[in-house]
Amino acid sequence: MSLLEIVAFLAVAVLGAAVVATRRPLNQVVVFGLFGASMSLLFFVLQAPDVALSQIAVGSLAIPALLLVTLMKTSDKL
Amino acid sequence: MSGALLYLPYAVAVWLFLAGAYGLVRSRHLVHSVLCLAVVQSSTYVLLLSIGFLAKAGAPIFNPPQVPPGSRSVDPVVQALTLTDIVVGATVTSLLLAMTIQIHRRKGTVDPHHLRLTRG
Amino acid sequence: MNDRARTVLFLVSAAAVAAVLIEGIAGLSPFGTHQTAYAAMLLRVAVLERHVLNVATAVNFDYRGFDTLGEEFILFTSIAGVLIIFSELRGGKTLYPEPMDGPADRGRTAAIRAFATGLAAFVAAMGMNVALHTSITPGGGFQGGAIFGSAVVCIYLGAGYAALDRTAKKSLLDTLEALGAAAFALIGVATAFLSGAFLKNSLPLGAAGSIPSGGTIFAINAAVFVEVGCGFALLLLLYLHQTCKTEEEQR
Repeated sequence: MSLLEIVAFLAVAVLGAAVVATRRPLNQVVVFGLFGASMSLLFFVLQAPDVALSQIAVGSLAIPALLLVTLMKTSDKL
Repeated sequence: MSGALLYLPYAVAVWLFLAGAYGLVRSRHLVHSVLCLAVVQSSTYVLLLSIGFLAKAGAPIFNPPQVPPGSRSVDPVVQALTLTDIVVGATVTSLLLAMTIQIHRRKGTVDPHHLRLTRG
Repeated sequence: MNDRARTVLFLVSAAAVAAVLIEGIAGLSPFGTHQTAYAAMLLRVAVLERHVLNVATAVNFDYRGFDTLGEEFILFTSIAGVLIIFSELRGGKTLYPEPMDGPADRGRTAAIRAFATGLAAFVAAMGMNVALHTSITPGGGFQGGAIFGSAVVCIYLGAGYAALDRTAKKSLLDTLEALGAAAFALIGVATAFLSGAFLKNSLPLGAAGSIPSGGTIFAINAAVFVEVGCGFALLLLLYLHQTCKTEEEQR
């Protein structure tokens, strides 16, 4: 296994744990965006460009936009 | 040592699955639990693509004459499964988030510990 | 049950699940050493049989097209669910955000509006480009549709919700999404009439390496792009509509 593959897998593992460990939802949205970016890097390294395209479009744009609107509607202060 | 390292991808998939499940169990905010569910889903993508991988192989996209059909490539079937699943998983996540907004409207809270199923 | 008991129960079950998973994984061959027979056969015959250079696309829309039909309808159903939930949540008339000289829009200069509009057009064109070249490069209806739907966010950020509402009509997106989903199923029915099997590739295949190659692969890909693109645009439009206040919230 090359170094790039090892680093990609470890980055995904660490960021996945970080998504779970972050308690405040607003911070979690940012960490989730990073997790999605690391997943798309992993998919490129695993020679899967179609999958990486899907992950970039969905995980870094559509999902954080939906999450931010949800957090706005469910926070008691607004 | 290099033999054990070759099982790292599968270990990462199992780790993501269990870490996401742990977050789901210990969650105090419904949006946090939806994101933990997304992490669990990601573990299946990692497992599928790791099973399909072949060392020193290219993507399953050919481009004659530089990359003639029949060159060494990774598995295309798992890629096809995963790429539709990512997009469809995003819309299911959006449905869960819409339900979270609805719950907040009706009950005033999004803490799973304060939500009881039996009351109307 | 209280917090502690739940965590202990989870840790016990997680240990059992981990044990089963590890035992199963130990039976797999090491990473990167084994190619399945199905993959080997597909890589050998897909380009010759279907005249498509992107084998993952051929698998998606032809060899495993029936699974993709099911996945597409999951997408359709989820978006229908979001539509239902949000249409019954709204109490009272919506107040659109203030017109362009309100405090919220003071930061939106003409330069920002122009840039965001141009960016939205570029993103939409990029989505169409990715979806169109599915037979020859990485791409496809799903990826292109997700990119296309994101143009909605660009318009919202640059010009506000009122402008977005004028541009993207909910009824139009709704209808197009349903037409895209129906087109996939109807292509299957049409091929059943043409050649006796549902979703069998019976259209002329074209030359490998050109854009309209693959027969039904190209047609299904176009239907999926229309459905996923309008679906994502509708989804983002519905969510962004939630950021407007209603009359009763203003009071």
